[in-house]
Amino acid sequence: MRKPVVAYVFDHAARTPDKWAVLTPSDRITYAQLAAEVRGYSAFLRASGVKKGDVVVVRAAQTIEYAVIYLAIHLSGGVVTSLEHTISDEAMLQIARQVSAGVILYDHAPRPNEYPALYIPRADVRLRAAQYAAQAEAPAFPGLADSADILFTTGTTGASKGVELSHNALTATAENLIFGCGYRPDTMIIVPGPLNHANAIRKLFTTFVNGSTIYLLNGMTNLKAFFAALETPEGTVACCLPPAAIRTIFALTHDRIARYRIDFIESATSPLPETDKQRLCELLPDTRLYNNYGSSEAASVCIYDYNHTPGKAGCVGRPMPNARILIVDDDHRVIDSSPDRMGLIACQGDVNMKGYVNDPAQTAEVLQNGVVYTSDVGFIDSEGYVYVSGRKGDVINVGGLKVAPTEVESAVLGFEGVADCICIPVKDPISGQALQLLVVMEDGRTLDEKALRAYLSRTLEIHKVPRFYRQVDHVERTYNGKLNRKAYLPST
Amino acid sequence: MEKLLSILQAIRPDVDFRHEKKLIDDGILHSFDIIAIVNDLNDAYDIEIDVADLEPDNFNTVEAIHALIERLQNE
Repeated sequence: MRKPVVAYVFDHAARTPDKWAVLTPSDRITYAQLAAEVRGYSAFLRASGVKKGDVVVVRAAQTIEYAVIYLAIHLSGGVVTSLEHTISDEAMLQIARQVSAGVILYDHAPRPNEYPALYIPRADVRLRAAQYAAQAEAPAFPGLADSADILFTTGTTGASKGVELSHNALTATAENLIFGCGYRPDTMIIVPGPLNHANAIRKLFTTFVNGSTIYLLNGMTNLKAFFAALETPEGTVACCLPPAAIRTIFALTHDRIARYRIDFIESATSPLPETDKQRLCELLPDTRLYNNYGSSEAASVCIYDYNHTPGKAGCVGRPMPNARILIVDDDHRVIDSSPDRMGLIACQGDVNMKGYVNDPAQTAEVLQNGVVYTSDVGFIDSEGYVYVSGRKGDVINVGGLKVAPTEVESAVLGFEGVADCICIPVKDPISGQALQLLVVMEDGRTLDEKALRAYLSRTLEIHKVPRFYRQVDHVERTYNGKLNRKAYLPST
Repeated sequence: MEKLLSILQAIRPDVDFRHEKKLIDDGILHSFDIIAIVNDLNDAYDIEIDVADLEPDNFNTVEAIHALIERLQNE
């Protein structure tokens, strides 16, 4: 029977008390110790006034103390709102108001404001947990339908919104990932991402549901610590590496990662550049390499091992057990999709959010009858694989025919000598918009436009073959490696 | 030191490299900044910064970065 994440921690503490739950470069804690500290710190939170349903705003950190705080808020019946560790007190207060917080948990002395504020230096968290352990009652776990977390989206679509998730959604997401990535009882997953980010916090609670081990790193600025973690003999090694982390590893250590035995690497929701994917496949032929598709609103819905299911450009895999994918038209009617009839991707299932906190209007736009409607354009093939061709706004309309630039780019990357490319719209007096291709060639090569055009004519439908070609030194990418399409939007 | 400061300033003109003492620990430099810094230092000083050197203590201050360069030049 499904339970809240914190209840699993207590189960594992009873069954495998001496197993490592959380490791960091300088510290480690077993399940028995973790459960005891969570009980103690939860007692402290309740004694300090935290009530069931209170939203508790806190700065996240890559530490055992933070794991204790996160679980203790859940055990107290509170709702965790994790924020960036560098966020200012002022911004923290603003978010507290947005989510109608009950309490703000500070790690340094705060300036007074309207909220009850708890000030506990991080170094004292475990001490406080020990002090209150004696007066802790038997754990009373929250209900599955109760709210557990409020995640802040990074705001790719404008203002940052607070995504409210139930305990049921967290455990359903964990079940998806345990099944999808093939977690083992002894998996030790290395996570450098900040725990206020959706993908990283999912790895924390997935570990706790699975009863395995998580190794927290503080970003990728300390690559020495990352490689030391890979050599830690505490289980079967896996990694959760966002595209930016993979880029960092390649840029600074070249092919070094090939020396290590890694069971699987899971990447975040933003797709990896094809060149990085290919390089990882070559360096780690036995490692399962997963691209995990989802969003803050509908977590971890599809999974795809691109190392062992090759040749499917744009594929994000099949839906995992607690999610169902629908393809809908602009009016949210379900359609039978195909490569020639794409639609918007919608997600149904227990992993979905409850809504945007305190924002019913935005919620109603995205969540209807339990279905989350995304702006991603795609289709499902006859084998049940889901394909994402881009965001709704990215599709280029060429004389009434819609072209996903990602499909063109995937084809171009298959042409010999091409290192990178981007397909962009340019104004055209006849079709309104035409396709232009900017191509980066491998060192010393020159673009043979005629040959590339002939190749694409054999590969793509004719309206998808770009009309204009230009060789460039580089194409613009965002900090996390995604093509920066906005940089190429035609000026109006 | 002036040469080093001008390299660092070119990569992150918004950072006060002379006075910041926790460039990594306070999250001022990100991993992509480290990539740019390592590449530029390798070129400018004809050194090879190894994985073993990629830890916060070597990048938290301009003095630490300078000491790292000197050590690698003398190896």
